[in-house]
Amino acid sequence: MLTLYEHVIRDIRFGDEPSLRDGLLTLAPERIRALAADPLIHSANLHIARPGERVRIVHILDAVQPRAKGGEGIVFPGFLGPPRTNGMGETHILTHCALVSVSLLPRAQEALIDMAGPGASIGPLAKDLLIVLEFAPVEGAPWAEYEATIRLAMLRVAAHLGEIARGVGPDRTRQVPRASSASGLPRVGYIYNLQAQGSYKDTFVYGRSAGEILPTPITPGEILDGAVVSGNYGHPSLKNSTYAHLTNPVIRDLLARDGRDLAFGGIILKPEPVTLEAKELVAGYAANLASLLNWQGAIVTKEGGGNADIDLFLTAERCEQRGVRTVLLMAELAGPDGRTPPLLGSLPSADALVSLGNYEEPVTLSAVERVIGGDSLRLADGPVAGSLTIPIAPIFGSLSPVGLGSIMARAQ
Amino acid sequence: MGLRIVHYINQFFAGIGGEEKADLPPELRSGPLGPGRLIQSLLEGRGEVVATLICGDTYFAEHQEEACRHSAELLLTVKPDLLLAGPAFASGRYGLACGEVARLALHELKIPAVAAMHPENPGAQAAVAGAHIVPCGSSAASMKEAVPRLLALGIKLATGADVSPDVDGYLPRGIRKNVTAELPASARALDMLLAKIAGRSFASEVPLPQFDRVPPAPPVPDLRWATVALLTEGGLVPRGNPDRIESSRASRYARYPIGELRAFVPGEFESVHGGYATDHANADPNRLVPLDVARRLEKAGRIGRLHEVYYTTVGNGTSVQKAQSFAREIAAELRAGGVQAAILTAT
Repeated sequence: MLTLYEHVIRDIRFGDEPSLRDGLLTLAPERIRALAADPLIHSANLHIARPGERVRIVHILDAVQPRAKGGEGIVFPGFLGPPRTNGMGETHILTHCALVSVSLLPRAQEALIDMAGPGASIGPLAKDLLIVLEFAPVEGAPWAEYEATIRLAMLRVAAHLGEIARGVGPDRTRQVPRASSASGLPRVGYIYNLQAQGSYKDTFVYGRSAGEILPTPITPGEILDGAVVSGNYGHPSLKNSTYAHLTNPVIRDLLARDGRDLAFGGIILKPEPVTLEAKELVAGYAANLASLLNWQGAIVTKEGGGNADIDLFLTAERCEQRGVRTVLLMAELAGPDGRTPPLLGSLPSADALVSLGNYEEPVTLSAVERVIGGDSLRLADGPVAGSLTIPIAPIFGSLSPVGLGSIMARAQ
Repeated sequence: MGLRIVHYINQFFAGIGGEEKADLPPELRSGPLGPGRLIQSLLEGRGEVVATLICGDTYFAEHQEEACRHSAELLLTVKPDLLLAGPAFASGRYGLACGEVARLALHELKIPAVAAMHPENPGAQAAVAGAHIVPCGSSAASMKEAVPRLLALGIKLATGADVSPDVDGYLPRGIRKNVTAELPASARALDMLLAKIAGRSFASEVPLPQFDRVPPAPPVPDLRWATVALLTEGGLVPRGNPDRIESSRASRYARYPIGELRAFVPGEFESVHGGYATDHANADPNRLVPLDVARRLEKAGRIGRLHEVYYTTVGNGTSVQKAQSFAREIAAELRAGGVQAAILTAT
């Protein structure tokens, strides 16, 4: 059993000593900069962005929801300490806030958050108070090492922020069992695809690349304690940020409905490899596990565009062949005017798809007063603070494959 | 102020005559006529049928371009808030005219428009071209059901309300539009899954695709006499990306001369693809587009001649629509250039 202590953050300010009182989180910037310090990091500047402020954050790499263990153990095992499996004991979580990393990184696709206006209504993180860490590398820092360094710095700072809540009374307490005790209800699980295509498009499980694993069952508490960490800087709307892993709505709803109208049968982590042969292997392997776990149905999510769709369809086919019913979460590629067929491919047994919205539909963002993270956008010419018409695709988390977003596409 | 409506009908429903009057060109009469009177009575102060646009069915079918142009001119003299057409029931030529006038009003004149007809009326094809078409019965016996539905959708469109085929019952137009979801995707997914497990009916939110199957071209009889082209979606461009091909969701492709090149030289060409690690491609671009090997085959006489340019784009989140348009243009150029075979390297 994992006990979650949820602390609702209502505002954030800078001060000398870190504290949390009545939802007011006070940060000590020097402490945070010290945690982020590394020979490869030239600077780590701290910013705060609040919902409704006319602020645009650009060059976003990742976001993390802060958390720390109450007693034994560590969060983000494999990064902040030895990779001992966790998901038990007590965990303090800061809700309604997120730590966001910003930096230039070659091959990272432009990702942005608007805190107000039309961009905010489709960007899931615009609802949170954001603590932004703007990193810059020292000259000549090797990019791959720099990326690993800022990823680790983010996790350290996220754990530090969580520690501020230790000893503070939570707003809400939740119990997360390792396994369901429900009976007589349909047994439903979750097949959780992770993109693992090497540097800049990787996901880590207990600190190791998900590309090295076969599909494997994992308990929800482990995910909530940070067993899965993103190192993926591709499609900003179609990737699973660390924040998405930590707040995954599919897991949240499975936990909430366990014993009510379903029995939560567990989670299978599944990599998205790069070759068709390996995709076939992991799809069949995950379906076997689902069948061994006696699931009657599975929600399947993906990460990334294009070839990740194949992972989704193959998983559905292999599961259905074994009598495990599937529903897939899917962003659509219906073209800017919505007239293109919305899927790149399909298999007949992948017949139940939930829409996460059309990736290419344009949205016009309002002009902003303040920009965090840079003075240019790698997608449009013109002033970075201006009104912009862009596809939804660069808006961080807007089409989140695990369902963090607020939109869907519909026939018109 | 109420809505100003123009109603489109054929010569028969206008009371002008049957087949013998079907070659009547478009004309405008003020006020409602025939089924337009029913529309007027249903409006109850919300608007007025200010004019009726009439065209003979044969005239419309045989002079479609002229009939459309003339109808547009007549509509522009009135500038209505809404055009309603039909109901045309199962009448093919009348349905064609109603669908076409509704499409024309919406897409060319930006006037909200709805037509009503039987779903199997050939005119219902206009739905796929973007017209709003309300299905109705096959004969005028269903007039009393059809007209209120035609008007109800028309009023929603003219007042800017959100509409969808699922809620408003019009024929699918093949258009996807982002809307705010009422429930989170995770909750909808679990509801759908529980329905599927229980054997209850469920509806996929994303329509399942029906893809074009492109028949392979017949084999090249003898490669020794063929001109072979190199193509890639791997994003290989001259250094600096002179045509600014995007690293994802490419909106363009380019062609670059290779007539003078024996092989790609690293550093002079690079990949701008955003979907894979380009280090290996940049270290040796010939592994992305096999120019070095193709030259050896050319020299050895195994292929006739290498085409003087290669084509490149980025296939990374590129829409099917864009890819189809690239393909049509590139294929036409290759054919015009006498190319018989092409090697397309994909990443």
